[in-house]
Amino acid sequence: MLGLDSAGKTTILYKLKLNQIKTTGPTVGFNVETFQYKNIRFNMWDVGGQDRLRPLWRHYYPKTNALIYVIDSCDTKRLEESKQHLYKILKELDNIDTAKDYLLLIFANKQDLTNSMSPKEINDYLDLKNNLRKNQLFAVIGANALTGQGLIEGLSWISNNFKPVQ
Amino acid sequence: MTSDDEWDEDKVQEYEEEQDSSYDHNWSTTSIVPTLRTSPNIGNINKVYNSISEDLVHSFQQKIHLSNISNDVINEDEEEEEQNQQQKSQEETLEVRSNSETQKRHNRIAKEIYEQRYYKINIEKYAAFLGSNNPDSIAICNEFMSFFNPWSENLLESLRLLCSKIYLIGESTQIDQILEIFSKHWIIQNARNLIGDYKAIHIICFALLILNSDLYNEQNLESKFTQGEFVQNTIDALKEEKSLNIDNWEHVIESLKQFYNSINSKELETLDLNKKPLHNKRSFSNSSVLSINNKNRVDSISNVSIRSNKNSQRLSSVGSTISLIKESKTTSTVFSKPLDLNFEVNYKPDKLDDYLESLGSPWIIEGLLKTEIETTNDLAKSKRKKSWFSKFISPKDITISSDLDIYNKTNWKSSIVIVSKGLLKQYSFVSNNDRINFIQTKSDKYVQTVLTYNLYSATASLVDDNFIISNSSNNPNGVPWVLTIPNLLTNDYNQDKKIVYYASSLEIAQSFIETCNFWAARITSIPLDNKIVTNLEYGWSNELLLSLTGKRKNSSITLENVQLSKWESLLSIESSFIPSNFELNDQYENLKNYLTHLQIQLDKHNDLKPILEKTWGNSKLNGKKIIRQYQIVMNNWTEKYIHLYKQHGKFKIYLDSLSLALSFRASKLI
Repeated sequence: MLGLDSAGKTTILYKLKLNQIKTTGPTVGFNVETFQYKNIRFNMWDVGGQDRLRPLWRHYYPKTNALIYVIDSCDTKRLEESKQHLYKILKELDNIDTAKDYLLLIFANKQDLTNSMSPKEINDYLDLKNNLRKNQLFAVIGANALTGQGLIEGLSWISNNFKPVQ
Repeated sequence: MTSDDEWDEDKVQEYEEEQDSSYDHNWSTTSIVPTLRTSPNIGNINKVYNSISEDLVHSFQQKIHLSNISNDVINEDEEEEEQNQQQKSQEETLEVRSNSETQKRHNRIAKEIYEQRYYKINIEKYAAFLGSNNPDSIAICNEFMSFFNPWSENLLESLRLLCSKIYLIGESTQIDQILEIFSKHWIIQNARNLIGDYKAIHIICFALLILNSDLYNEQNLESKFTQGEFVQNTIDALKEEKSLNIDNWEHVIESLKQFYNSINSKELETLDLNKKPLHNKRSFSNSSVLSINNKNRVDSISNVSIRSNKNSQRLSSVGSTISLIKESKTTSTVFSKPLDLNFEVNYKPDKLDDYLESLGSPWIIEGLLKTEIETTNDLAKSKRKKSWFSKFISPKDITISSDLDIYNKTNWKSSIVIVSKGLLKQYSFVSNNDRINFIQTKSDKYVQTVLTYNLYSATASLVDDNFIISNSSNNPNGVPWVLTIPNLLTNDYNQDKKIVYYASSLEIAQSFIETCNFWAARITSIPLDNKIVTNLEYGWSNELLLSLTGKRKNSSITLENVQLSKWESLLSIESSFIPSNFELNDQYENLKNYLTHLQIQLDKHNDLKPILEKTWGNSKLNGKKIIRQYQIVMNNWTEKYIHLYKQHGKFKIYLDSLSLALSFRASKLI
């Protein structure tokens, strides 16, 4: 799960985890969470940081089956930045052979706010259709991380379209 | 009830209250989100942030405000520039003055954080505060780092020290910022280190924290870093940072190896918060079988405690209150109380709830209904499967396959049914005497079993609404109505659980139906009314239809070659079992919006059908492949139609019942 800071990644992560008991003690470092949804076990890392740190996350890229990218639908000022960020990551993933068939799910978060852009507007802005590899599946789903609306739709979409490696 | 029980109950209550009030608190071990809206507990931070700069900003603004006013008074167009300059110089003086004050303040806060006595923020949120992307946090973080002087020459030892002094668990961007500031401080004293400048140190520290999470965070299921992988990964990152001038790669590699070994044998220890373990918010299952028969007690607990299989974590909150309480407590005395008391739905209360409850339906209803009793056989059957949950997800053996079948059932028994606060509870008795005794004494000892159903996402309706059967009006059992509890985890309508009740009159049946639907409408979370944009092709995307009808030229898409996907409904928040957090009025408004949205969707979808038939079905080519494609498209259309239709029907029931309840409520307000 990726996205600019304050897009709502952490809120989404813990909303999804809400009903599961956390048994582990605190571990110094980053948010790592795992949960099972239907046929899929999600292992999510909160990967972020400045450009110079980004290569460090590459260790986890070959295992990527789905990329969840979170966008703040209200932050029109940073939308371009978010778009650039997204394509930077996608480019990184494209260089890795084993990560070719990942699903791209985009949460257009903060749909509860009145000035938020709709998933369709976000999709048009990102222009995914013309920038992705052919046959790359994607979905843009409106979400409200506070109430949890849209989140399960997203996981459900991944689950429906996920093809386990043969 | 023994005094132990009372104590326990109080404790549980206390615990629950704490859980409720610290809803977000639970997340705090791991993170914090730097915006006001996403996380209530951030309120603290903003408050602090405000108070840091409040005074100076305030005086500052006042000054500016004053000068603005004076501008307004004196200012004529030709004087504007002069005035502006004057104002500017005022600002500058002010800045100089406030800067030293701010610095003092920053230093004080940093010291308090260093000594863990900055009480405005919880200790576990210090890192989120220091890592926030604003000038104050950065300044305070810088001050904070200076308290560590002198840093050890050993980078990892320094990092360990830092971790032991601050609860360094959280968002990557925050950790990034803290480590960057740390690196800049560390490098000042260790300028002659053989690794490189602060950027290299920053990268390595970040890598070490990834390593620590990778090796020790139990949530990480990926295969763990090997030493070789770790070194290579970090070296790659260092090499990619073009501004670095690392001469002695051998030394860097050697250091990384040592760091890896050190962390591998001993994890980075965090500041000991000395706190009790955190628990997640309680959650609810949709139904439960609780027996308070003495003999069965232990068995029934294991039935309820569906989370017994810890390996199978589930997204949906089919954990039960009871199992949570069980885990949070060392004693089991809590179970000597009637178990069902622990079941409650966490809905948003209304100030009139108590009063309206005293008036009966749709807030509350109780009465004697005939139901089919789940026999001990059924219970044994479900027990054999070990997990109660598995019974829930494959309810075929307990589901009535069709509403019509109910007329063939014979095992009817009178039960007392109470619907209130989002739950339907069904008390059954061995004998009529027991039942009468129960009504008089309310003592649990007369009850054989209590079945509790969470009404989340359920619907109730008269059986005769759907089926007109010649002999139904003369049914000796009374007026049948059915409670439908969907299997939210599959979206498969064939797996709905249906429970049939007989009421002695139509009026009573309707009151039960109203009350059930009212509560279901009130507690069920409403999906978001937005459209999902995806490039999955179900056979009706705009682009496809335009190309197929020839309206878009230079398109290579044809009926044969278009890749079709199977349409499947997506689960939504509705299937999360998380009770709606909206107040009654808001819930109503949201329902209304969602229903409008569904209506529009349905209309659009219906309009699509003739277009699809024309485009896909009218093909002169009629090749086998196209016929197959056409079938897929029409199946997709039907699947989606059924889904929309069912959703629409259900939420229409909810809207109507909330509408009735609200006018009832309004009539009592006057």
